[in-house]
Amino acid sequence: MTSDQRNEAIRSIVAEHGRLPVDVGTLGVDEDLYEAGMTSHASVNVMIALEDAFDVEFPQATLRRATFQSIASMGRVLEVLLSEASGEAGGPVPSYGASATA
Amino acid sequence: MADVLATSISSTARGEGGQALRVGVDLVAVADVGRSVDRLGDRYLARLFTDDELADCRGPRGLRLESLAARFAAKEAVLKVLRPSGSRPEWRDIEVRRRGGGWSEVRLHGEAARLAQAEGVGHVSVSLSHEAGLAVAVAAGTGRPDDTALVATAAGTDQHGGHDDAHDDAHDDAQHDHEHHDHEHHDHDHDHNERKRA
Repeated sequence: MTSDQRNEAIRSIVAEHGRLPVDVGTLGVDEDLYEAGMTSHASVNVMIALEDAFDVEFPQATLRRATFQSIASMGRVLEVLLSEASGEAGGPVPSYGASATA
Repeated sequence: MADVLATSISSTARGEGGQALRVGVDLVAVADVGRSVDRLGDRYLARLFTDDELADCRGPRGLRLESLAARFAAKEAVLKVLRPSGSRPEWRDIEVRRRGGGWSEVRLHGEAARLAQAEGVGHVSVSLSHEAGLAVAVAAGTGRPDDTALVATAAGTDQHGGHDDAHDDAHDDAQHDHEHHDHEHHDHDHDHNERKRA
């Protein structure tokens, strides 16, 4: 799955579970979802739905605002989690805080 | 009167030992919790609530959604008192239990307990309520003073000589929500629980 494909899958999940008052289809991948109206409760739903869809679990170290701030930030964290899950050798050291700060 | 009250509970209020009062609040729509239970089921419940919390919320007709919602709000409110700078504790590490008298108390486990210790937060009190499809919780405790810089406010003045661009709590919740995501097991007492009908 390319990162674009992953982002579009994330976008669908945000649309379904994020309860945003705006059309998620119009949001840029780097757009701040909290600014767009995503609540803490909605972000939990998005997280759980992502875990279901991608068969991963967000560990406690990833539970930060920056992770769920945008479609792209979720994509980056998922990429790391998926590579860890598949046991890729020589993968990058997880850097969950790589996204922009709030 | 309101101004005086606000001043006395300002973020710079100091108690003994230089501790600062911290307060957190959160508001949740009960229908949203209901929707989550319907769509995500046990994964949602198990991620957010401990077995004891679920038992506290169980009535003759099953889980009381408003009680779950109030507890979720309480966890978020407590998080705002703990103020993690890195990743936040798991929701289950902030446990809300009901006392026999109907009041709720906070129990911190794992990362939440460690965070509390790091932040100098001892007792955290919590109060829950729900009505008209909404659940709300407020948490309060003392902790080490916030030594971070104020966020720069937008330039510009209005005719009253200055526009305070600081967010009020509601605005703050909607947008920033303190998912700072980013502390021994404290048995913290009580406070006011919702005494609403089941």
